[in-house]
Amino acid sequence: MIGADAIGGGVIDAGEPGGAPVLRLEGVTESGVFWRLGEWRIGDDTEADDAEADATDDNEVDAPGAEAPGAGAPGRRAARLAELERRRRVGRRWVRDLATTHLGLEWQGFTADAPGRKPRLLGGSGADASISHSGGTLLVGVTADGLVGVDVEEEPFVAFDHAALLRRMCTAEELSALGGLPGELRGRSLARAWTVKEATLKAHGWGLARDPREVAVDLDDLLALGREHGPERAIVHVTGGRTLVRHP
Amino acid sequence: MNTDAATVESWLAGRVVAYGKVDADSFTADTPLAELGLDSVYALTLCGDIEDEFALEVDPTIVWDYPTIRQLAGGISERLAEAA
Repeated sequence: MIGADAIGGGVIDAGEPGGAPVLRLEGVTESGVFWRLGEWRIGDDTEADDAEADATDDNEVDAPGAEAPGAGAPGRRAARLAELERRRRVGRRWVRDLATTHLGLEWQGFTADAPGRKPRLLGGSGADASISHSGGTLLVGVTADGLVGVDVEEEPFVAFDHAALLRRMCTAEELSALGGLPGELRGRSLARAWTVKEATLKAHGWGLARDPREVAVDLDDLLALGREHGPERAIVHVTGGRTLVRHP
Repeated sequence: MNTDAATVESWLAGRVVAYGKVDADSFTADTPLAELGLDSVYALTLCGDIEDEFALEVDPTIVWDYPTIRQLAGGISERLAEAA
């Protein structure tokens, strides 16, 4: 089992209280993971440089292919591909922003990674980054030391109603503890459990190659969840022999 | 149960639509799964569904090895034939 301890963190910019809806949050965990959470469809759609063009977001099971003959209506497919490309570009841009601003990195781009694996930063600085998206929500994290994995899941958490998924992601103990929770609390606690597992697998660079049931979650933390709103998100930082979990 | 590639392909297309990420008429069997919104959650769900439907245990990495519905259907069908 891969254990995890919860840690705290501070919000750098939480937007204006009582003002317009917050589109983007930034913060840093106590262990030094700088993160950004927000809507990727809004703003920030500048072109990334060529060095980043081959990177693959680690949520995806594979990069979209160049051609898929007869893949539905051409216009809809073009729109779908354009949206995927934009999402990827914004994710890379956010990593670049955080890495250069907070880590002082001289930006050299991403390596091209294997399908489904996390993008790595070029330059041999030892810095690490992770990108996750769910619907319109994007979460990225960067750290100067250790390994980082992030994951976000948007509401509603309907995927976690699916028994086939729960059987493959949860241990019997986890399912027994969380499966019987009432209504919304059940969905949220299962979504949080998933984000911890997924972020942990991403941090280590294992992705789908490792069984998520092997990643332990803090059941006390999950069972203590109250009525919350917004996407579930987890940042996992593997550093100094410890696995630290944060829910920004 | 009919487990030829065409039947599995049709079943897989139905699952992709059921996951609610794309409309039925917006893709074909050759559209990359990644383009259909098949993220880690749904890749794992699909593995569980395959297990339930065909009594065949597969790892989520199967979607890397067979990145389209047509290829995945072929791979599942072959495995089922080997297991028979």
